Formats: sequence, C-alpha cells, structure tokens
Amino acid sequence: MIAVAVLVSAVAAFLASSGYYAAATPIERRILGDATIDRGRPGPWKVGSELVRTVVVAAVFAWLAARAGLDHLPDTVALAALLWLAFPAVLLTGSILWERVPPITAAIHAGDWLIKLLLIATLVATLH
Amino acid sequence: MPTPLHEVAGTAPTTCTGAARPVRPARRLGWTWSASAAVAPLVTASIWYSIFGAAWVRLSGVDPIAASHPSRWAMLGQLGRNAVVVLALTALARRAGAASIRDVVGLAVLVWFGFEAMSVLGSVLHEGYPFALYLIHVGDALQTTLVMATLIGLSQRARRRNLVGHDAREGTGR
Repeated sequence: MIAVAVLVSAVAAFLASSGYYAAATPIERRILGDATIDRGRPGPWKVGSELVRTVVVAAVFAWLAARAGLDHLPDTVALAALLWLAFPAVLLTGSILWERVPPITAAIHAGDWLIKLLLIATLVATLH
Repeated sequence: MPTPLHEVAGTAPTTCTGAARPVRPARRLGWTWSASAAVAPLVTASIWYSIFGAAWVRLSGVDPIAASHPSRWAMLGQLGRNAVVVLALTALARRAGAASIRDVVGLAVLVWFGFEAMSVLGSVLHEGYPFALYLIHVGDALQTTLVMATLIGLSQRARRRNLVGHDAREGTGR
C-alpha cells in the first residue's frame, strides 16, 4: 500500500508542480524581464526524469515518516514543513547568497518544493 | 525531577573530603558536539572549495574576488543555514530512533539523497545548470552532511550517557 501511496503522491506532485510553474513563470518574467531563465517545453525524457525524481522524493519521505512513526496527517505535514525548511529552503538561500540567483527565482522554486512536500505528506498519510 | 545543581554548575557534588571534583557534564558535551556540527562544515566546505573553487567560479560565473573573500555577513548567514540543518537532522534522528553514529549517518545520507541531491537536480533538468557544477555542490552537501551527522551522532551518544547516568543516580537502573 505504501508503494501505491508513493506513486500516487509522486504523480500528483508532478502535475501540481507543472501547473505551478505555468502560473509562476509569467510573474518571474514580469519581474526579471530578459534575465528570466527559459525553461522551455520539456521533452519526454525530461518529463520521465522529473517523474523519477519526484518518486525518489516521495519514497524517501514515506520511509522517513514510517521510521519516525508519523502516520497521521498533522504529523506528516509537520515533517514536510521541517524537511522543506532544512533542505530545499536552505539550499535556495545558499544559491542567493553564493551564486546571486535572483530572490524571485529562488522563491518560486521554494514554493514549488513546499507544494510538492505538502501534497506528498497529505497523500502518504491518507493512502498508506 | 529538576536537574541537579551540580550538573548545571558543571561540578560534581562536594566529596566527603570537602573537595569539589570538576567534571564535564554529558549534557554540556552534547551541546558542544551540536554546535561543532554547525561550525565544522564551515572549515570542511572551505577546504572543498579550495579544491573545486576554480571550477565553481568558471562554471557559475560568480565574481572570483567576491567568491574568494566572502563577507562576514555571508559567513554568518552560512552558519545560520548550517544550524537549521543540524537542528532538523537532530530532530529527525531522535524521532527516528537513530541512536548510533552509524544510524545517524545512514539517515542523513538518505535525507541528502532525497532532498538535497534531488533538489539541485531540478536545475540541471530544467534550467541548463551545468552537471559539473551540480556535482560540485552536491559533493559539498554530502561532505557537509557526513560531518554534521557524525557530530550529531556524538551528541546523541553524550545525551544518552547523560540519561543513563541520571537514571543511575535516581536509582531506577533503567
């Protein structure tokens, strides 16, 4: 059952992420103008790689939740918030600090990770 | 029961001869290891970038002078970022029951793979981020994780010894 939860949450996170970037990129473009990174339209191999990447994230999340005995919804959401803060958010502040990545780009990526992790936390707790 | 005063003060109770025996309480030692876990990666990362720094500057296009002389604020920011990771890894290790150094390192490597290596991979896939630059950053994140996890493991061990010592003093023998 946990495998189903991982797969379903990975697909849901992938779809949510695609919709999120479609909505957020025009805002980024309005702020950064020509400096905006052109992410283009992803080809099939990129879509496949992105799905695999999201499956890995969901699987590690599910393993951690099980190992820590966090089975229920508020607990998994708290775990997602902790992981988001300590890893993607910290990494993205590093990219602003050390590589001068525009804060709006980093904020958009941080938002994507937050949505992904909250969705995975919700579905893993619901479907496991 | 409140913490015995001698633990807070850092000295053992006065012996029958009246001499105070100085000790280093395990709790304080635990905090020392935790603080080291946030500080030590500043040193190891500077070694890492002294090896890969030239490639990093070339690939990322950052200003080489600014990169080789980070401001005090940047270093303080980095220390704050390390502290957040140490606190999160410590909380995860305790919650997951990772008691030994090996357990904590295993858990930390898994978290590194799932949330750090996968996070930066998105930029390679969608933003043309150079793969060599990805390897430099992910390698740095891995060495940082290993250093932090080892020191957190030592902190956990000191904390466990403190609890065992406390139980023995209480006479629970747990």
